[in-house]
Amino acid sequence: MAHSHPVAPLDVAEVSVERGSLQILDNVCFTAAPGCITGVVGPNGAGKSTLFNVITGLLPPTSGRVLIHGEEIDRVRGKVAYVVQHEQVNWRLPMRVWDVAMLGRVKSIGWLRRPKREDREAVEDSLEKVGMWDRRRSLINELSGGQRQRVSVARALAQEATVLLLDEPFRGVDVASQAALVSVLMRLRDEGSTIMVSSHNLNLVSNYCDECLCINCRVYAYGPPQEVLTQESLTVLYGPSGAIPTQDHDMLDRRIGHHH
Amino acid sequence: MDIITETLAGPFQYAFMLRALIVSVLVGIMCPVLGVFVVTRGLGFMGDAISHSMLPGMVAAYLLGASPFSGAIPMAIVVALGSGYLIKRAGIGEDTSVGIVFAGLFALGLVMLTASRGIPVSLEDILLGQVLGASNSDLYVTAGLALAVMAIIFGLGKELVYASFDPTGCSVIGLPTEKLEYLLLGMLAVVVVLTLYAVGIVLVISMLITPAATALLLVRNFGGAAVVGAVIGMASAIAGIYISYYYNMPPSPIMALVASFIFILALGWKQGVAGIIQHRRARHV
Repeated sequence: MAHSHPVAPLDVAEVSVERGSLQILDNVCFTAAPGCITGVVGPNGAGKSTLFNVITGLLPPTSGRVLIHGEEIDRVRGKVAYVVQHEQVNWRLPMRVWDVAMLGRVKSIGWLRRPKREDREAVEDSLEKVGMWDRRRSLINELSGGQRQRVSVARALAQEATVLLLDEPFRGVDVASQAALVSVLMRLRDEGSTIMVSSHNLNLVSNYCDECLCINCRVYAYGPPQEVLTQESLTVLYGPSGAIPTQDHDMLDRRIGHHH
Repeated sequence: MDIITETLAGPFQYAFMLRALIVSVLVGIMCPVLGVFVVTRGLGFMGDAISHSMLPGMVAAYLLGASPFSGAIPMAIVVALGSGYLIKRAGIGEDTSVGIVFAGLFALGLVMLTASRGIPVSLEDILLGQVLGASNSDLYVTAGLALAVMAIIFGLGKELVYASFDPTGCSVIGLPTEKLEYLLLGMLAVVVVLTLYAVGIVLVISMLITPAATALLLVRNFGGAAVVGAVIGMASAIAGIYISYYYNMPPSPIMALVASFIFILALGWKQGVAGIIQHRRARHV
């Protein structure tokens, strides 16, 4: 299905990453279609974050290549946005929701320049799409985890990114906020965005993702979640003692933690 | 009226007092502008460390008969970028690596200072600052570098904020995040040296942190906090100069005291207002 598009928004071909003698990613291949949410699952240390770092151009792969809309990442930087795990972001900075969304415009505004009307309009649109317009004057340190994720998505939208990667956006987010974030992602998907979400929450992945990438150094399975997320494949992916992980991340970590 | 004019103009019948005022005001404005980054990024300890570890550079410059800035600024930049590199690359904890570098270099500076004879600087100058002894060239160096730092922060503000907020996301869109980080540390080094020349090693941190922290209590955005902080810093500097003149005390502790006093007032006002709002809400419910 994904392969029928002539130029895929995201094409990962034979990507391997080695650090010293350690193989972190081994010959990872997949193609993501436009208007598609791909869930990335795998145990801790499976290379999910490394894969995202390669896709976003932060980490050059040892071998293989990544094409975004058929181009090398350096030529289409603004097309990719990366929402990192929330503890990697300094939420204590004195910024408002509006200011964070405006960061998405920093590159297009350019060095030494100030925001123009088109930038303010893009920020307004993106905050409305994620349902945070009413909170635009709120300080970011007053937001809940789920609201912070939505503001980060707004920043990606203001950037006009077409490929959006989210690293564990549901961790530490309550169920109502998870639902709000999922509906935002589904709306973006329907508008044609290519979205990748890494998560330990297999229930969420199977409920709203179109594709699921099971990864542990190499790709174990790639396809619709109902085909891919079977008891057998999960046993292979998470190891023999890894029953279907629950939403309780601590329990999940305890079960699969020693299988890195 | 005449008495007021006389009181206000009094200190400035002496050229050195006027230079001291200008240098103090420049420092008072420049520190909070960078200080909002220092406070929100938790770089205060780093600033303190830089101020101590540039001592060997400053003493070496005096020994060679050069301007103290010519030794202290390069030394501070090396220390700032070096510590930044250690934290990032060597995986040594921030407080540990900074602590090792800072204590070692400060000790070296003290040994150099006590072992050298005939240099025009004493330990007291280093501790309390030399704003009353500022020469014209000190004033020009301070003015030039302070304006440069403020121009960089004004010009590259949004990029510096992005790199501070989300370094990974900042790199993904293709901004040179690492260079922006080093630029921030480099500016911290320059500001610390200028401030330390004026107010002394121990009180650098009070000029760098207190007015900015006060402003951040009152205004929760970078631009506004920088402006409010600059006003507070300037007021502390001016008050320090006047009080020091009329009561014959060194100006730098007065500046630090005034800045701390304004902080306490702001904190009290904020807590008081917050309390009143809460009280009103409670009554309405």
